[in-house]
Amino acid sequence: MALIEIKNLSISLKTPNGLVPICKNLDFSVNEGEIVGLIGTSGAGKTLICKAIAGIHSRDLEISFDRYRFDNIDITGKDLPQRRKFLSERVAIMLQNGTRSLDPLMTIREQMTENLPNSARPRKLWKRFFWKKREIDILLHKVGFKDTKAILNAYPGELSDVQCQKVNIAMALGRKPRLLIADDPVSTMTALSQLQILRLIDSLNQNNHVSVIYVSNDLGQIARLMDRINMIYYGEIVEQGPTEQILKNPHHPFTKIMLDAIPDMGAGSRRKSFFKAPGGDHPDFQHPPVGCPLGSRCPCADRECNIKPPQTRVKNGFYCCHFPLNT
Amino acid sequence: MAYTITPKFLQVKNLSVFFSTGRYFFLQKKRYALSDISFTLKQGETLAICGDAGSGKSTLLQILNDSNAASYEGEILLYEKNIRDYDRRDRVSIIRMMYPDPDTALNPHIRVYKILEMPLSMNTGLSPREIKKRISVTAEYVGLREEHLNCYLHMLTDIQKLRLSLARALVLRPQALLVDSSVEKLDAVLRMDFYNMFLDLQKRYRMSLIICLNDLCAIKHLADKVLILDHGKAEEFGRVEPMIYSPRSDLTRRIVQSYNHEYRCVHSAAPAVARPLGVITKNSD
Repeated sequence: MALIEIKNLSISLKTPNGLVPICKNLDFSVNEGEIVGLIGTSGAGKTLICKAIAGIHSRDLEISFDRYRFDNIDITGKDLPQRRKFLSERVAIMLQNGTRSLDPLMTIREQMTENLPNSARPRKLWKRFFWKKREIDILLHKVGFKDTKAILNAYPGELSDVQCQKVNIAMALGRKPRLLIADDPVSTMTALSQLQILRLIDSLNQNNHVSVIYVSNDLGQIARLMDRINMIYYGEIVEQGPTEQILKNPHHPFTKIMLDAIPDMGAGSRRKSFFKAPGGDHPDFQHPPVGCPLGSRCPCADRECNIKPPQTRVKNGFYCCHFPLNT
Repeated sequence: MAYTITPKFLQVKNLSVFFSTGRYFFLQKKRYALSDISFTLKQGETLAICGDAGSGKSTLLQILNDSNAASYEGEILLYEKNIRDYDRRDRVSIIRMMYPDPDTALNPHIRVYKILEMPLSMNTGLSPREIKKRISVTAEYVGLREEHLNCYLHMLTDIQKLRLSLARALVLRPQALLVDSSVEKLDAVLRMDFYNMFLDLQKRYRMSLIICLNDLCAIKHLADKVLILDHGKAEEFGRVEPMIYSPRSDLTRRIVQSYNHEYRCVHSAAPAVARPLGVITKNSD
């Protein structure tokens, strides 16, 4: 059953020269209890899609959609403040920089107390005394802190990035959300700390049945964590499918490029050998190309690719390419 | 300026970096950002520094680049001569840093050409024609086009700004390049593009690189030696293969183990790091 269903999401940026479209006609859905990945290069519009879903986009963006259903409630007709209020009770978000997404002037204890919803208050009268304090302690123990007192009295600047991300997860847990949006929370950590955070997200998904949208630009870090992967390039979903299919036989050349960019550490890999990566950058959003946006970076491009944009096909998987691989 | 190639290119001996805290001098305490770090690098060797946020990677690079105001104990020897005894102009053409945040590190008021010209005209005695030629060669090398040289900083995209930051470091033809964690934040494809550029620099120009890297695959490909930092202390320093296959410290072993976790198995179900010695045990982190 679909938790989120968005039809024809369009995002465009207001500039002095008029509207610049970034995403056009995006269909996006997340099933209940599922981890969905949004994978793409930097500047492809992954973060904008996330912010549009959560309703926290900045004012110079214009967002429209035909249909938006959350948990079988239609919120298409609601205006932005109403939608934000509705979503704020159901969606939690984690940002890339854990330290910056916490208030630097408040201790962790103050922030977590403020963050707890009143609906979590216990019914029994004798449990109501200091319930917030107890609740916060339980939450911090759940994410793996042993000495909670030291964490609670600290300011975010005193904690490391990993600890801040853990506090973020604990705060998200306290709200009892239906959906967690993780916007690339682990990209600058060591593998060890990455694993701690990823395990927490996985256990949140398994034990608390929270659906997760995971945004990343590196397939290698998190490939097997996700159930379904959306590959995003130049504001479009170029390929969609279950993880196994995307990793084993990708249809779109862009997916192949992303997979090739992950270095293989097997015994056969030679030291100091060059990586497989095409140079260049995606085209500017202000001057969109006529044909396929992948253009010259594509290994199997032909004349047709430069003339007309590819159509989305749903035969044998969801992809959008003139000359798909592995079909 | 010609230098004889010595085996000892860069030596760091018992380096400790500290900040003084406290309002009055009699209340002041030393807080160590880095404590007791020592390593040596030969000419053309690459050092990867691995560690979490707050472990002192950037501080170490800034100290090597002399752009951090913190005071330090210990010695940094460049070509067996203390780095403090160098004239600034000489040192700058040996060690250059690729700044991680081009928005704040580069001047937004002047054009890109001028940004690249400034270090050349200040530190070398090249003629204008030579300067122009060198700038165009460097810009082409890092992937900037001719028309970008006339732009201002805000007209470039983030990735072009990073390329410009690299070009500004390379334009003096240094012996060693310091790279802060800027490349880590890029997406996988572009990151590999940058790594290819670093590999080319190593192979063609025998340049020493000191890079902040957290990706074990990239470390194995790029680096000769690894320094693993944890809260300002050196956990392990040594060559790459021994570090991966038979790690000495506990932290290193756990990092390698977590690299073998099933989340990261993309190409096959087998672990990412091959283990010839069977040292790493399963499910024990």
